[in-house]
Amino acid sequence: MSLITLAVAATLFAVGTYLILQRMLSRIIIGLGLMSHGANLLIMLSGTGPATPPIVDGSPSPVVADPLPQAMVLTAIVITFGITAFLLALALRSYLLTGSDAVEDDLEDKRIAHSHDRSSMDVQEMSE
Amino acid sequence: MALVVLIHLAVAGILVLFRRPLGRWAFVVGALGPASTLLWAALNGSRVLSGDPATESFTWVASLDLTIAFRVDAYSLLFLLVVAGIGLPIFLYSQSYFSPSSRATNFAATMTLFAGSMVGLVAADHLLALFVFWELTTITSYLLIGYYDQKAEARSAALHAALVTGGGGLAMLGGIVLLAGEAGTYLISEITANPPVGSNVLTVAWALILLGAVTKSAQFPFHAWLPGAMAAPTPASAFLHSATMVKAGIFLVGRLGFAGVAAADWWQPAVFTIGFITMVLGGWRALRQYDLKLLLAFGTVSQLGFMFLLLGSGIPALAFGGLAILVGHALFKATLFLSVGAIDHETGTRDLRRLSGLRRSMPRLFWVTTAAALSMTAMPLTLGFAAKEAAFDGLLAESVWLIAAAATASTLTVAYTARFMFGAFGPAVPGTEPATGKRLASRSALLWAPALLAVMSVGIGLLPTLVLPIVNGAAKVVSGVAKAGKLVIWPGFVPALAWSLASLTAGLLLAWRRQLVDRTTEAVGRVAERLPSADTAYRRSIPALLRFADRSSGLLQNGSLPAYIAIILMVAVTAPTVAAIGESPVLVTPPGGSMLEWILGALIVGFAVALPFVRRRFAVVILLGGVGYGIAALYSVFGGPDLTLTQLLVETLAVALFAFVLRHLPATFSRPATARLPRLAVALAVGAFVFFAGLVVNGARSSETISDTLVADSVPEAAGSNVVNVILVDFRAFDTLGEITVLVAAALGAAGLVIPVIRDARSRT
Repeated sequence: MSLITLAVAATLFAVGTYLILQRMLSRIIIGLGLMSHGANLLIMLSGTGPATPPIVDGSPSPVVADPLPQAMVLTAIVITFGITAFLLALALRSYLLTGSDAVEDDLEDKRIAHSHDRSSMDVQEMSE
Repeated sequence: MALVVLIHLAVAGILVLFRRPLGRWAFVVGALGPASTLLWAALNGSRVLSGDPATESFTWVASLDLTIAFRVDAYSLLFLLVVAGIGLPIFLYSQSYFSPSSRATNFAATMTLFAGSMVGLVAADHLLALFVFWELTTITSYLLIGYYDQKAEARSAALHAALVTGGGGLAMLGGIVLLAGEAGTYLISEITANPPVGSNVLTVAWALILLGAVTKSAQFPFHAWLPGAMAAPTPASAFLHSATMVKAGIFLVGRLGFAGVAAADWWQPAVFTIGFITMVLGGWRALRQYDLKLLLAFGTVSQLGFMFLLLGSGIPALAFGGLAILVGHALFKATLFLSVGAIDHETGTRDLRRLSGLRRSMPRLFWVTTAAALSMTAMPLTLGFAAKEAAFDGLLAESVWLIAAAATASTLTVAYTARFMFGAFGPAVPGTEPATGKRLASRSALLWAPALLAVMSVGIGLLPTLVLPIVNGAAKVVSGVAKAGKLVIWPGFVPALAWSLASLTAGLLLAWRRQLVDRTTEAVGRVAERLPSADTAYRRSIPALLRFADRSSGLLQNGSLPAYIAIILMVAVTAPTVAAIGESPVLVTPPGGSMLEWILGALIVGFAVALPFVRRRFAVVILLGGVGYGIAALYSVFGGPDLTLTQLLVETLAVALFAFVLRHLPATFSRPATARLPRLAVALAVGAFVFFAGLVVNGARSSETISDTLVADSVPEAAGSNVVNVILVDFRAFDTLGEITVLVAAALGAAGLVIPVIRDARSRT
C-alpha cells in the first residue's frame, strides 16, 4: 500500500459522491464510474504494491503481486461495465421519452411525507 | 410433545378446511386439542412426576444452535394440566354458547390454535421456540378478542392487547438473545441449572425479560389491556384470562425467577413492588365495576399480581404457594367467567344493577357460582383457602410487610366477591329495569361445564392431596427444594391463619357494609379519575407514536433521490466510524509510493477533479476516459497485466458507449438543481472516510493471505501458470459463470430499454 494511491482512491470517492448527489442520470453514471474505480484501487491496495505479475514460470522474483485482489478487481471491472451500459440505456430511454434524463422525485413518497391524515378507524377511535 | 402441538395445528386446519360439514360440532372437534394434551399427560404424568422429564429435540440449523426442543418437567406438566384441564370444559361450553356459523367455526379453529401455542409455550425448552409460541398466543389472542369485529370497541381492545403484549414480547426477545449470549446456551434447562451471574449485560437482559412477563401477565403499569380484552366472547375471556394467556407471564417468571434473583439484586424488589401495586390496584378497581365481567377482569389483575409476586420472588416457599394459588385461581376464575357467560346468554345483560332474582330463577347456577366464589374468597375448606395458607405461610417467614400487603389484597378480594355475588344473584337496584333469567336445563353445557369445574374446585379443596404431588414436583423443579410448603385442608392454629382470618373478617365487614363501601369508592373514584391512569397513558401514547412516525418518515423519506443517497452514505460513513473510535485502532501510515505512482496519481486526480466543473458532455466523456486509462496504467505498476488489458478494453468500449448515448442528449449539462454546499460536505466526508478506513485496514491484517496456496496450487492443480487467470476460470469458475450471466442480463435489459424507443423515434422522423 502506498499513501498516494490511497489518496487517489479517496479523491475518486469524493468526486464520485459529489456527482452522484444530483438528479441528472448521465452525471450519476459518471459518478458511479469514479466510485468503482476508487473501490477497485482500494482492493488492489490490500495486495503488495509495485510488483511483478503473478505468473509462475520458474524464474525467481523478489516481489510477486498478490493474485487474489487482481482476480476480484477483474470481475469488478467487467461488472461495472455491465452496470454502466444498463444505466446509459436507462438515461437514453428516459431522455427520448420525457425529454430529460433527470430523476424526478418519487410522487408516492412525497404524498406519504406530506399526508398527516390517518384514515385508519381504530386509531382514530383510540385518539378520541 | 411435538405431536400434541401438531394435533392442535391439524385440528385447527381441519376445522377451517371442512367448515361446512363440521360447523355444527366445531367446538367439540376443537376439544380434541386439549383432550390430546390430557391424554399425553395421563400417559407420561407419573414418569414426569418421578423426576424424569420428557424431552424431545428436533435440530433445525445445527450451526446456529437452532433446535426445537421440548422438555416437560413437573413444572410444565402443572401448566399443561391447567391449560388443557380448563380448556376442555370451555370448548364444550362454547358448543352451547355459540350458535353454529362459519364465523363461530373460525373462532373454534383460532381457539384450538391458541391452545396449541400455549401447550408449546409451556413445553418448550429452547428460549427462541418459547418466544415463537409466545408470539403465536399474542396473534391468536388478537383474533379471539376481536371476534365481534363489527364493534369498534372490540377492535380497539384487540389492538391494545396485541400492541402491549407484542411489544413486551419483542423486548423479551432482546432479553433472550442477551441472556443466551451470556449463558452460552438457549436451553432453559441449562440456564436454570447454571444461571449466569456477574455481568452488566445480564441486568439489561433480565430487565427486558421481566418486561415481557409484566406485559403478558397484565401487571402494573400495563394492566389496562386485560379489562379491555373483556370485549371478547365470554368463553375466550374465560380461557385466556383464567388459565392461559395471562398465565404465560407467570409461567416465565416462575421458570426463570430463581435465575433472575441470582443474577440481579434488583429483581426481587422489582417483582415485589410490581406485584403489590397490581394486586391492590386491581382489587380496588374491581370494587367499582358494574359489569360482572369487568369486575372479574380487575379481580384477575389483582390475583395475577399476587401470583407474579409469589412465583417471581425466587423463594421456594413462595413459589410453592404461588403454584397452589395458580391452580386454585384457574379453577374458580374459569367457573366464574363461565357463569357470567351463562347469565349474559340467558338474560342479555351483565350489568349487576339490573340483574334480579337469579337466585330463584337459576338456582343451580347460583350454587355452582357460590362454590367458586367461596374458593375465591379463600373461605376455609376450599382450595383457595389451602393455597392461600401455603402462600401466607411463606410470606410470614419473609417479612411482615409482605403479608400485610397480601392480607390487604385479600380483604379487597372478599369485598369484590361479595359485590359480584349480591350483584348477580341479589335484587336489582331500584330505578333500573330488572333483568331476570329462566332456569337452565341441566343438560346444557352452559350449566354443567362450570359445574364440572366447581366440583373439581371443591373436590380438590376437600382433598388437597389430589394436586399436592404436582404442586410439590413443580415447586421442586424451579426452586430445587422438595416439600417447600404444605397444602392441607386445615393448617391448625398457626400465625398465618390469624392473618387470613383477619383479612376474611375485614372483607366480610366490607361486604356487610357494602353501601357504605360503594359510597366511599364513588367519592374516592371521582378524585382518582383525574389522576393519570394506565389506560389514558396508552390512549395518548398511540397517536403520539403515529405522529412521530409521520414526522420522521416525512423527513427521511421525502421522495428525493439525492437526499436518499446522502442519508445512505452518511450512515455508511458514520456507523463504522463510531465503531472504530470505540476500538481506538492503530493508524499505520504506509510509505509514500513510487515515482510512477505519484505521476499517474496526479494525472488521475487532475482528470477526476476537473469532471464536476466541465459542462460540455463530450469533454466529460474524454475526462472519464482519461481517468480510466490512468487507472489501467496504475494496474500495470501493481503487477497486473490482465487488469491493464481489461481496463483498457472496457474503457474504450465505455467511451464509445457514452459517445453513442450522449449524441442523443443536449450538448451541455444543465445546472444541477441541488444545493452545492451539502453535496460538497457529504463528498468530503466520504472521501475522508475512505482515506482513514484505508489507513485502519492497513494495520489490521491479522492472518496470512490465502494467495500463497493459490500460487502454489496453480500449476499442479490447474496446469496454468497465470495465477489470476487460473483463479477466474478454474478455482472460482462458478463466480465467473455468474458474472457472465450478469453481463448477459444487463445486455438484454439495456437492449430491451433502448431498441423500442429508438425504433419509435426513427419512425417518427
